Amino acid sequence: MLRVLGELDLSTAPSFRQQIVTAVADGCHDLVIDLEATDYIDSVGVGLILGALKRVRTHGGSVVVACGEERLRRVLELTELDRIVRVIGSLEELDTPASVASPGGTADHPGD
Amino acid sequence: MAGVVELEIPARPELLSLARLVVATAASVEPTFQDERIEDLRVVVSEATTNAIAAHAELSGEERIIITCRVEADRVEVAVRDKGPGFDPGRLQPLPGITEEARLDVEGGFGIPLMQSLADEAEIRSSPEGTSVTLTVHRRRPG
Repeated sequence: MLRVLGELDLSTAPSFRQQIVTAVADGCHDLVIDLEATDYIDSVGVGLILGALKRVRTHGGSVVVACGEERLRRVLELTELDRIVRVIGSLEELDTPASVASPGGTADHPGD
Repeated sequence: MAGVVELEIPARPELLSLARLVVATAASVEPTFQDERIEDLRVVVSEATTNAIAAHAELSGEERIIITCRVEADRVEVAVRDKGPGFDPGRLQPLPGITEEARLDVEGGFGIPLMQSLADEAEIRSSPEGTSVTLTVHRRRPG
C-alpha cells in the first residue's frame, strides 16, 4: 500500500514516483494507492497513477485507489482515470487485506 | 469592485502550494463563492502554474512566473503568465482514449483538458516570448 499524506503535485511527485518504482521492483504488483489522507491531487498525480498502472500491468498486476473525498474524486472522474483504475471510497472496501507494498510504504508529504 | 492580487514567483515546484493558497484565499474573500468552486480554482491555478514551471525549464532561473487573480462578485479570473518558448495550442498532439493501451505510455496530457473542464472560460495565448493562460471560474457551478 502506498499512502499519500498531504498534497500530490509537481513538487511532491518525484518522491511518490520513487515509491511506486520501489514497490514494483520489490515484487508488489497489486498496488493500493491510499489517498484518504491526501489534501490535493491534480493531473500530475493522475499521470503518476497511470504510470503505476503501466508498470504493474506488465506483471499482470492492478491498481486500486482509495479516495473518499468528493473534491479529489472529481479530478479522478474528470480525467477519466476511474475508467481504468478501480476507485474505492475507503480501504474497508477492499476484498482482501491490503498487501503492504514496501517497508517504506508511507509517503510523508507535508501540506501547506 | 474587483480586487486584484498578484503573485510573482520563480519557476519552482515547491511554490505551487503557495500559488494555490493565495488564489484560494483571495477568492474566499467573496462570501458568495461556493466552496467547490474554490477547490476548482485551486486545481486550475495549479495546473496552469505547473505548465508554466515546465515551460521555464530551459531558462536561466531568473525569470518569473506572474499569477494575477482578479476577484469579482460573481467570478474569479486567474491569469498565469510565463516566459517560456511558447507552443501552438491548436496543434496539441491528440492522445489515445483513456481505455486504449497506448494511453498508458503518456503520463501527461491531462492538465489542459482538466483546466477546460473545471474553468468556465479558458483562454491560452502563446508566442515565442511566453504563454498566458487566463481561466475564469464563476461563483457557482453551472446546473
